[in-house]
Amino acid sequence: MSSTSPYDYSGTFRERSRVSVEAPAMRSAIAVAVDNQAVGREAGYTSLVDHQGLREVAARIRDHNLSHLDRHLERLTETWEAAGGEVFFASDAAEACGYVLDLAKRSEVRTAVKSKSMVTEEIGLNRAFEDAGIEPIETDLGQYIVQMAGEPPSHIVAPSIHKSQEDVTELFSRIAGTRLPNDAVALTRFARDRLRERFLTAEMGVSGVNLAVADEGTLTLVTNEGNGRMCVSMPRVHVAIMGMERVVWDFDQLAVILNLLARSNTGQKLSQYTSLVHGPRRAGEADGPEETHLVILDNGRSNILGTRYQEALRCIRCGACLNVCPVFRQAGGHAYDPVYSGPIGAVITPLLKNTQQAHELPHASTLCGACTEVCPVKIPLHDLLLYLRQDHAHEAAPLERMSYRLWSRAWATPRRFAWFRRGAALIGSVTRGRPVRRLPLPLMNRWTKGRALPPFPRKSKTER
Amino acid sequence: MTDRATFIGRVRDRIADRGKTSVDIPSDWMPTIEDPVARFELEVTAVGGTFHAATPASAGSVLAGILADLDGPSVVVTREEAVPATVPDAITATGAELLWWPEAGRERTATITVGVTAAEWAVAETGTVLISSAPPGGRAPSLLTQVHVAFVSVDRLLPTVADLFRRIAEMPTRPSNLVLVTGPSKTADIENVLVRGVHGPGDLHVVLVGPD
Repeated sequence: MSSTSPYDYSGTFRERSRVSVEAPAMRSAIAVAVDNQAVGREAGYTSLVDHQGLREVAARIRDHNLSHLDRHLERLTETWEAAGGEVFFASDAAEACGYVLDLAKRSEVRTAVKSKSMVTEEIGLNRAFEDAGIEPIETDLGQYIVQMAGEPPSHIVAPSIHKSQEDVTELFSRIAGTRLPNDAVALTRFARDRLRERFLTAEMGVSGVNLAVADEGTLTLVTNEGNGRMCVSMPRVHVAIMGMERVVWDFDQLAVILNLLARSNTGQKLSQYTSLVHGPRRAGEADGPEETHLVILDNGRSNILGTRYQEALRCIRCGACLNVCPVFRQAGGHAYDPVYSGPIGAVITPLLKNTQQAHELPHASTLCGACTEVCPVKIPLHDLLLYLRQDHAHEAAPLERMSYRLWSRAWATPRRFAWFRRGAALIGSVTRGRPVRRLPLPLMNRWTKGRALPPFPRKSKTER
Repeated sequence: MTDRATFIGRVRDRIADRGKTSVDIPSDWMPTIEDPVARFELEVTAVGGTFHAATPASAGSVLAGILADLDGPSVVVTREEAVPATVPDAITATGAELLWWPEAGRERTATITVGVTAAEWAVAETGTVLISSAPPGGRAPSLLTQVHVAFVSVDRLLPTVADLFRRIAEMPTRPSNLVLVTGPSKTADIENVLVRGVHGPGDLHVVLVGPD
């Protein structure tokens, strides 16, 4: 097995996770970051009257939105158009990118500033921009760092979680052409100055949508840095791209979800900036975009609707499930699909795309249920992971299926089971009750590559 | 290209066999705020902002105090009604350069140290102020400057975020942009070190204006 770079997705989960597992510095960076967020989340919840009760309400709100999704999307279209915005429905990534590129060409866009949006990662918008000769610029500091490094994000909320301050100093110094101090404040200042100029000159701003409010023609965008405000305010054209499930009905529903979103992520009661975007600038307003476009994306989501996986579409992308996941902690975000990582990524990736690598993801879980326990909209993540394994089991490797069949036949009668017991006791007397660290047989030795077998007893249970 | 009817029709077909669910949001999920002013001060401070209390008469000297800590600041002020009348004179009295919004324009505003604006509402529960793009306010003064000073009248102080959204729903005309500002711009994207002032202002002052 060759060593795999963090952004090469050709290998298996195990191969990709090696980058993090074998780099103690990166692993501890991830651990510190997710622990900080987990501690913050605990603290944030204590300021709610009834945290568990509110999760239940939030889950029912999201189920309401999904069970009426057709009506909610129709209403959103009416209200957004009434506010002066334009709507485009995209069935897949190609349609979404095509619309944005056409718009960019019409508007003579050379540069597009972007606020962090996983859905634009999903449709490969940056690549499409570059191929069309348009420069996309990520403006969330973490996302800017990974863009400059030529890597995909490694965490839904904190994309550069795997990078140390020294990595960033190295990277920014290269861009600056001069040695920058190894200091977070100075590095942030450098990024601010560079990006400020871009905000003021870019012709197009691209954002995701945290939640659209159907009955109000309003898009909600949440950021801490203020880059989201910049992207929806400074360029002449604003394009917002949303997965079609990211809609609530009214402001009462929005208030509940917003009360859980930032708390579940960093523990803040609210993020610093919650922007409510309601179409282009009105007559008399001094600044703001002249055009606002909303792209509503399916890209496989409708295949999840109406199935036993529908609850996965409740997700509000808070990142809490990543932060508590023991597998994410060790393997890092780059071991997963380049877009959605952690438990929620392991659920939705195989549902959105049918590749061998995607189907491997549900197996990268201990099924411990920590994700389900923290999810603010109560997605039964570990149940869904198990369903996905079941669905995929009939496609499992023939050799594996055959060995399980042989095994079940072998233990099917008491007599044959006794042979195995005596065999185990024989191994136990040879190994003298010590744990077996390595199996000598080919194929079987893969089991002991990452773990030891428990010690074999010297006597079988019935003889003891 | 997919037309709207096809797209929504596909969604409708997929969910047709599943039951429709409804939701009643209980009325008691928001916390009770005993002393809104005290709580607001606490929360503004907790999120990294600076709280000030003022009257229309003392508002000017409060702003002068903020400017005194800055090195040769320039100031842009919106012509919003809720910015107290004592503010402009107080700025010129400190010797700071004074510009008015919207006349200053976006490019000029981007070079200014301090942006002085009104806030439509404030929220005690979270230390939030609501900034509106409606004229004569705008987006740039509270976003492109390094220090943002927001004046809000004490009778616009609401207990909870849910109360705020009710007021927004009742607005007769909605501006193109409303932003809930909860503390100064910040990031922790470099090794979890908290840094203020990434893209938005690194300092936020909230001035609660009560009766004289």
